[in-house]
Amino acid sequence: MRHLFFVAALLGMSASAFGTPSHPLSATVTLAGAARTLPPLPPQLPAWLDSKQNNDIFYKRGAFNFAITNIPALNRDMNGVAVGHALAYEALVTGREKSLETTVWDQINHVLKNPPKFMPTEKSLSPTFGQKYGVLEQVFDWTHVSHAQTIDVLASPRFDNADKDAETTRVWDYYRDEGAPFTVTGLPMNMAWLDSQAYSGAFRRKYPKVNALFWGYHWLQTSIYDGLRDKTPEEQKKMYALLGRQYHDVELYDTKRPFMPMMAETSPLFSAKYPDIANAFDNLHMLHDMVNDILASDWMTGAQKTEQIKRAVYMMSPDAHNGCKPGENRGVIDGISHDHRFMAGMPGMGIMKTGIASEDKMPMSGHAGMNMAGMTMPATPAKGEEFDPTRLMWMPKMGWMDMSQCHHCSMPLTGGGDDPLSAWQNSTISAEGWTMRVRCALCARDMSAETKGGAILSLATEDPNRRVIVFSDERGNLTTDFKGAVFLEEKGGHPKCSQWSQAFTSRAAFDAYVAKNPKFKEAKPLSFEEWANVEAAGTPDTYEKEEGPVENPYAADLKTRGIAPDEGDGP
Amino acid sequence: MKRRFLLLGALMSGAIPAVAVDHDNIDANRPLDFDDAETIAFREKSSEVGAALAQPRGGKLGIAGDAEFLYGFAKNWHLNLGLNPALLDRNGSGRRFDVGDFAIGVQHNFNRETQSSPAFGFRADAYLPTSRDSSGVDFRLRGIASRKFGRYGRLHLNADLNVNTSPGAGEQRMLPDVILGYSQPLGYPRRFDRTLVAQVGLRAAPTNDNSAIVNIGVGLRQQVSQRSVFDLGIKSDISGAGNDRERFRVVAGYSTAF
Amino acid sequence: MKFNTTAVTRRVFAGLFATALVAPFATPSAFAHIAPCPYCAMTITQDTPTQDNEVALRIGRKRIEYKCVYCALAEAQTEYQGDLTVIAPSEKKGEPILISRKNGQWSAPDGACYVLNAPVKHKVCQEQARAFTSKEVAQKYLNANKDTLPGAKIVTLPELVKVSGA
Repeated sequence: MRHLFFVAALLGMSASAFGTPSHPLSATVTLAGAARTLPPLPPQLPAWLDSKQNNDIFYKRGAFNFAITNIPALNRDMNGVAVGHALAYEALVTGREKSLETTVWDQINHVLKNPPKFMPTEKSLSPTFGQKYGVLEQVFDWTHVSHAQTIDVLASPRFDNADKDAETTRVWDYYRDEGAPFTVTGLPMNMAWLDSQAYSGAFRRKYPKVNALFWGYHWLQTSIYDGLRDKTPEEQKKMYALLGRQYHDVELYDTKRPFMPMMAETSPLFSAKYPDIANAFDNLHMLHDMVNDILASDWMTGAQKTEQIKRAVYMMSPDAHNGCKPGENRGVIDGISHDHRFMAGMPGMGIMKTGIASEDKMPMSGHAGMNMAGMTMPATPAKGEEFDPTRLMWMPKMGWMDMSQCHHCSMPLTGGGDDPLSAWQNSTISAEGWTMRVRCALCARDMSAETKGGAILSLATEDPNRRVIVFSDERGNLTTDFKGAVFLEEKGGHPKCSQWSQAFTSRAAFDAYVAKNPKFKEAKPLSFEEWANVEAAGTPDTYEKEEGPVENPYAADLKTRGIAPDEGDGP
Repeated sequence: MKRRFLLLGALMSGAIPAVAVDHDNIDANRPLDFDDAETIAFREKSSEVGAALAQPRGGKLGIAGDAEFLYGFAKNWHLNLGLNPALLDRNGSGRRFDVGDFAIGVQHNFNRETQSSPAFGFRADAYLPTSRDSSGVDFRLRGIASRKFGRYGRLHLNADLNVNTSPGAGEQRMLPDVILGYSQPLGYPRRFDRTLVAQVGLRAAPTNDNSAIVNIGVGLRQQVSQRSVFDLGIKSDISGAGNDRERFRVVAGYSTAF
Repeated sequence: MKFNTTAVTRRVFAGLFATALVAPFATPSAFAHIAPCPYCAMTITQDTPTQDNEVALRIGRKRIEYKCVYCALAEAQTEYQGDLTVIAPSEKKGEPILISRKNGQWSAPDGACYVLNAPVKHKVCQEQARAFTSKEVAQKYLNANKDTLPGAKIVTLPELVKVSGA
C-alpha cells in the first residue's frame, strides 16, 4: 500500500530534505541497575557533519589504479570484503538484527568464500543505512578509496619501490587535501580510550561470528600492505598464496580475537614508514567498531544512536584535532580524547589497552616534540605515571612486547650498526597471521624456524629500495627468487647482530661493506643456499621476555564474551 | 525544427547520462531514458557510447547512435556533451543519415536521499542546431527525484519541459514529458554486477494534431570491468497517434570512467 | 602501586651460537619468542633451573614448541607428514627423550615410557602427559602426584601415539 504513495512522496518531501536541527541527547541511561552515561555532542561541530549533499569525489588518477587485478585471488578477496559491513549495517537498521548471526552471517560468509570479480558498491547494499547515516557512509567510502588506491600502488608492476613510496604519499595527500571534508585523521588515537565508551564491545558480545568476519577481513586489509611491499609481481602472488590461506582458513573465523587487528601488528614496515596512513586506517576500522557497537546497543534510542554516531565520526575527523601533533596528549576536552601518543618505536600505532584501572584517565603528560620518524621514545615512565602505556603492548600469541625492539633478540631495532637502518627498513618475518620486525637476517631466519607453518622473510639489504624476499615452507625450507644475494653471518653476540648478520644484493655490496668494516675481513660471503641451511641458533643471548602490568589486559573483556583469557582452540 | 524533436522524442529526451560507470548508477540512454538524481563524481570523466536498431512506425529499420562525454566539474555538478547521429527512415521517405544535434548541458544534485526525502536533482540541456533541417537552439529542463523502493530497488521520476524555440507549423512550443523509471540490482546479496532497469513514460506529441505517446522499456546494465558497464535494452512506444511513435528500439551501449 | 616494567630475562644462553649449531637436539627449550602451544593454544610452561617442560617438534628446519608431549604427538599426526622428531623433556634436566617418526614408524629409546592422564586437561597438560626414561621413574612420578593425577597411567609409545591421534 505504501508504494501507492510513492510518487506523492517523491514530490512532497523536499521540504524536509535539508535536515533537522540536532538536539543534544546525552543522557544517563540506567539499565539493570547499571548507569551508562552517553556524552553529549561537542559544541560547534563543523557543518559537513550535517551535510545532506552527496559530494562524491573521483579517486586520484594514476597508472596504478586497479593494479590489484594482477593478483587475481587478492583482488577478489578484497572485493568480497566490501559486502560485510554493508549487509550487517542494513540488517541492523531495518530490524533484522536477529538474523545477523544466522542468515546475514551466511550471506557474508558466502561472498567472502566466493568473492566477486568486481568491487560491489557498498551504498547499494545498504540503502537504508545510507539514508540514515549518509555522512558516515561518505567517510567510509572516501577512506576505503584511499585504502584501495594505496594497495593498488603497492601492487603496481609499473613502479619501482622508490616510485611506490612517492605515489603512496601522493595518494594520501589527495585523500586529505583534495576537497573532501569527510576524512579520518592520521593522528594516532588512544584505542583503549576509544574502546571504553558506554557502548563499547556490544557488537562483539552479541554477534561474535559476524564480528569475527569483520576483524578477519580487517586483518587482510591491514596485512596486505607489508605483504605487497618490496616484492616483485611473482613474489606478490606467492605471498598471497600464503596470506590468502591464512585469511580463509583462520582469520575469518577467529571469534576469540581480543581486539581488532592493528596496522602495526600486521604491517609494521608500512606503519613505521607512513604512520599517518596507518593511523588513519586503524582509526577507520575503529570507527567501524564504534558504529557496530552503537547500532548493537539496544538500550539506546534511535536518536541517541544517531547522535553517538555523529560524535564518533567527529572524533575520528581531523577537524576534531586541529593543532594536535603526534606524540602529544592533551587529555580529554569536550568529551573527546586528544591523546595522540603512540607506541614506542611505532609512530603508526596509537595507545593500546594495558589493563590498568587508570587507562581511561590517561595522564596529561605527553611527549611533545617527539619526532615520528626518529622513533625515539623515553624508556622510563614519566613522573607520576603508574605504567607507561607507550612502552609495551599486548598482542595475541605474543603477549607483552616492545615494538621498538627486535622480536627475536630484544635489541633495539635502530642504532645497532655503523649505518643504522631506520626502523621502517628493518627486516621482517610474517607467519601465523602476524608480521614482526627483526634486527638482522639471522633473527628473521631463526624466528621462522621456530614458527609453525609457512613464513615470509623480508630481508633488508644495503639498498633501501631492494629487499631479499625469502619464502619458508612448512618444513622450514627456504627459497628465494632473488638472484645473486650474498650474506654475511659471523658468530657474535646479538648486541651487534645488525652488523654481523646482513643480506646484500650482490658480492660487490658485500665486499664494500667488508672494506668499510675491516673486522669482518675474514668473513666468508655466504650464498643464499649456504645461509639458508645454517642451523637455527636458539635463543639469542640478549632475549628478554617482557612483562606488563597485568597478564592479559583484555581478560575482563574476553570474560564478558564468554572466553577465558588463556582459552585455546584445542581439545 | 520538427526534425530535431522527432529525434529527441525517439531518444525519449535523454541524450546525456546522469551518473557514470556502475551498473547501479542509472544513466539516460544507457539503455533506457531516465536519469537518477546523482551526478558523476567531482573530477570524474566518463564516456558513453551506444548504438540502436530502431523501427519507426511507417518507416524502415534504421540505426541510431549516441556518444557522450561527461565531466564532474564541481562537487555535485557535471557537464555533458553529446551527439546523436542516426540513419533512420522517417515517414517512409527512406533512410537518411543525420549527425544529430550537439547537446551541451549540466546536471546538479541537490541532496542525497535520506529517510525523509528523495534525492533531488535537475539537469538543463541546450541543443545546438547541427542536425539536418534543424534551426534555433532548443532547451530542455529536467527535474529528477530518486528514492529507494523495496529492499534494494529505486524509483526515479523524471519530469521534463522541452522548449522548442522555433516551432514549425503545427508544432508545439512547449513539450512536457514524464518518465517513471525503476532500477533493481539483480542477484543481491550473492552477485553484484547487474541491474535491471524498466520504465514507463508519457510524452507530448511534437505536433498539435497527435495525442501523447506512452512508452515502456526494459533493460539490463552489466558491469564488465571495474570501471565500465555494458547495457542492453528494448523500448517501445505502445500508444499514441502519428508517425512519431517507434515500434521498437533495441539499444546496446558501453560506458567507461577515466 | 608501581608496576615492574623492567624486562625479565627468560634465560641467558650460555656460550655462543656454536653450541646450538652442533647440538640442535640437545635442549628443547632453545626458543626465542614465547608463543602459545600451537595445539592447545595454552601458554607454554617454561623450563625451570631443575626441570625441563617445553616440548619441541622438529621437522626439516623447523623447531616448533609445544606444551606437552601429547600436544606434539597429536599435531604430528594431523599437521605434518614425513619424518620428524618430538623432543620431550624427561625427568633429567637437559636429557630429553627423542621420539622419532621415520617412514611412518614411531620409535623412542629403549625403556622410555610415558605418564598420561586421559582425557588431558590442557591447562596443566605439561603435568598430565610426560616422558620418562624408565618405568620406575614414571611410577615414582605417579605416586608423588596421586591427588592431581587420579586417573593417570603409564603408557607405551604406541599407546600414547594412538590416544593422542584419536
